[in-house]
Amino acid sequence: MSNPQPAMGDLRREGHSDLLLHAGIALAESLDMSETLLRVARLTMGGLADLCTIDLLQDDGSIRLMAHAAADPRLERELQDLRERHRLDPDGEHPVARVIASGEPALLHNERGFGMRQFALGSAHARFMGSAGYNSAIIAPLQARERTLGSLSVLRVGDGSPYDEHEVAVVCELARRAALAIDNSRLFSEVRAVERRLEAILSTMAEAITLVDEHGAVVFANQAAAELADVSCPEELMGMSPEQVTDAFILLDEHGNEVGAREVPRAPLGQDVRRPEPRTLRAVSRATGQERWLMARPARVTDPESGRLIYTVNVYEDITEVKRAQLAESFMAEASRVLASSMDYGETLARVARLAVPRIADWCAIDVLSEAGELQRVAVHHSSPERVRVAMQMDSGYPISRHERVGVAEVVRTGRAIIYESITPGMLAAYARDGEHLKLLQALGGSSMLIVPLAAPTGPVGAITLVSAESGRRLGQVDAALAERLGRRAGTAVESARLYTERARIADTLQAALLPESLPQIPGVQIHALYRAAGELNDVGGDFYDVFELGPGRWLMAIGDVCGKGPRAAGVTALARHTLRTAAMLGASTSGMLATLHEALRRQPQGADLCTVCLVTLEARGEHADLTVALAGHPNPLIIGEGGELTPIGTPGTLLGVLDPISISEVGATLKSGQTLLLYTDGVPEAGRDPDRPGLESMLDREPRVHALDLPALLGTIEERALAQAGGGLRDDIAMLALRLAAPAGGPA
Amino acid sequence: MSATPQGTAPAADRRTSDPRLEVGPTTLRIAQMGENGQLGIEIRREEDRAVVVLGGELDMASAPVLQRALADGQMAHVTAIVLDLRELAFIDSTGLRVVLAAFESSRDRGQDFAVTRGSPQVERLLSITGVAEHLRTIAAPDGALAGEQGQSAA
Repeated sequence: MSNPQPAMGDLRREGHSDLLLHAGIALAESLDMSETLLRVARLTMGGLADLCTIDLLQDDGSIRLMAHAAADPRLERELQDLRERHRLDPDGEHPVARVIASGEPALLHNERGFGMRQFALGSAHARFMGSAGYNSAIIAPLQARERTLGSLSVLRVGDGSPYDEHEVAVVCELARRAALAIDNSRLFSEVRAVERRLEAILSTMAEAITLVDEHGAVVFANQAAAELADVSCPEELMGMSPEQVTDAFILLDEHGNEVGAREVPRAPLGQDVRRPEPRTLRAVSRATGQERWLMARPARVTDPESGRLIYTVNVYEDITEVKRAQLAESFMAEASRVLASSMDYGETLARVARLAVPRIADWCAIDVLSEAGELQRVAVHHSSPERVRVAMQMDSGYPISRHERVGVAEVVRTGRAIIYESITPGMLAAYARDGEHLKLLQALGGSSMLIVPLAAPTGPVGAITLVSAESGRRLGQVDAALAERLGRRAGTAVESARLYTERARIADTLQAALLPESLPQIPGVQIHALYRAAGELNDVGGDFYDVFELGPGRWLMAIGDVCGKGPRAAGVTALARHTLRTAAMLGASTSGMLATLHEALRRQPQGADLCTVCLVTLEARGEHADLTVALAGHPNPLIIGEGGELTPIGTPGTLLGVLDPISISEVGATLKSGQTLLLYTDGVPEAGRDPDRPGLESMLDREPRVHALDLPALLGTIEERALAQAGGGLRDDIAMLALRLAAPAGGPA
Repeated sequence: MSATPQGTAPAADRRTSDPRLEVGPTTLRIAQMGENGQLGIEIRREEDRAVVVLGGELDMASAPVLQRALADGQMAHVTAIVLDLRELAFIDSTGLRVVLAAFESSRDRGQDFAVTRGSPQVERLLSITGVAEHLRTIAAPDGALAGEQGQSAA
């Protein structure tokens, strides 16, 4: 075995360049590898070889005859039979195995006792070798990318001249070219296999995927992409530019604002963008009005060596279901918050209409049935104020009649939602009352409409109309479901607000009956009162006060607190106030008035109505006033001195209505000029419920001191402090009555 | 409503509603005592008297809870009722009405009725309203009812 070095110059000189040229053509035309190898083997016939075999190393390490040719057809058949029967041992001594193992070419001669028969794979093979007359052989490795793929063997039989070094070089060159072709062919089929697998994976993926080449043309699209783009098959997208694909849609961002084509993250991306942020898009098909929510995630594929952009992969995930559910929840949460924020339903419905645009539709109008049973448009919204004016013009010129058998009136009558998925010019013409009306309807530009009832527990109280216009979205069942939820929530809110307003009106009326409309003018005395009900507007409080004249120059100040709230407390409060007045008219003393009230309360059929009362009589005597104080379970009134000092007056007495016997004391006191008399209910000191700071003292004993303020400011300041102490939520009513002697001409010292 | 029955209340309910099943002291506990300003009520049966321990705030919101608790049939079968107000931080006129209603019905049934001292606010309200004069006040529920006299300024 020798180790010859091929020399290219010699190849040409030997006239084998024709062979290599033909081999080159055969290999370049390569379509099928075994066909090609057979052509190469046959090319060696006619001079170079009498017999040619091409063996390839298989993936499992075995060696397989891939192609062979022989000048003698008999020889060719026999060789095939033999090699089919006898496998070459890859680790054996056969020259083919050794060449493949070593990667070195071999030149063999069947002379000088060096019998080629020693390589025979069996007796039949040995006989064949003998009969064929093996003479000389060249075995060249098939090498590519530093791997040995197999071998190319040529043999001469009979008496021909044995191979020389030049011929070894030719065969080696032929083997090198064949090896390259084999390698390329294998690589190509591997790539094809990978491509086919990738394509199979991409095709079945739920995400829409497009592959865009460096020129901006779509070179791959999967089925989901075709569905997304509203084309019948992925092939229709091939060669289109991404702009052509997205032109089929109106693209909006999460807030419903139109997204310019340039803002869409897609191919071809700028060189500077390696991994752009995913972006949520709302795509509305221009053709069908169907809306989809997409998560767009583009990625660049660059050549690992040059960094050049090869492809941009656009992945569009359809997140419609998730996004809609999420939007519906956040919309409902926000709408509920708005509806709960105020009892003024006109205002809250206007805010709901603003919320619905553009999230659900381009237009939102809300009609409410008035108490008289007429439909009133309480809200209309569109993102453009100009178009809102058009709508309002139409509403005022062509108000909806509740007797109509279409649209809002029909929805309010039946309580069932109506969807007009597609509004046709014919529908508008049929609905329009005259030419002007039609023009206004057309100007609104509605393409799809949804009307749902404002459903209250007692029945529909109005309707919400949602119209899709310039967004091109078609309103469908999904929108209807959300709108109906909104309608139920808003309808309940409208009804609650109405009941509340009604109750508040009753409460106001009742409360007014419990308190004097205005305080009387007392000569030489300034007087001021403050009342603030705790809790809801429509709870009638149990606090009361009253000021009236007992006799010439003798006045009575009364303040009291009836336990509880609501109609029953209101009844007791009215009883207390009027009983005290009646007893006073009959000439009772303050303790007598309280005893009379106690008896009246004890006679109440349901019993256990508690009432605390403070009565103060006043006789102004110029520089001072004489007071008497009678307390029935009520906190002491205070005299606030000129320097702010606090003096409680009166002696505690039993509350009225429960305990027998009651004990009440009348105690005298003097109010001097510049001093303030303050009567209050325990809602004031108890506002903060701070057990460590009992009484009103803590509220008065702080800066700025109240004694220098005028009476409205003084009471206002105490109220503020009580509210602050209560943390905004008063738990009991506050009532206060304050008076001062009017300053004499000279003014206070 | 801020105070609602919690925890083991149902089981205790069953026992307290049928005094014959009782063995030793029984406890009906409604809400944790005075948690977050809520009203806590614990009714303890001690031999022939009931000790009602109140905690937290007794106001317009929680008064109905106490009213229901005191309406329990067991209250009619004792000879004395003690309201332990030592843990009661706050009482308003609505709360006072429930206390006075309990006082009245116990008087109608011929039962002894006593309260312990309460927080400064409770004491002040009982004093301002003159209720303190009508109720027997004891230092602690353990004290013999007959032995301790409340302040009596009447």
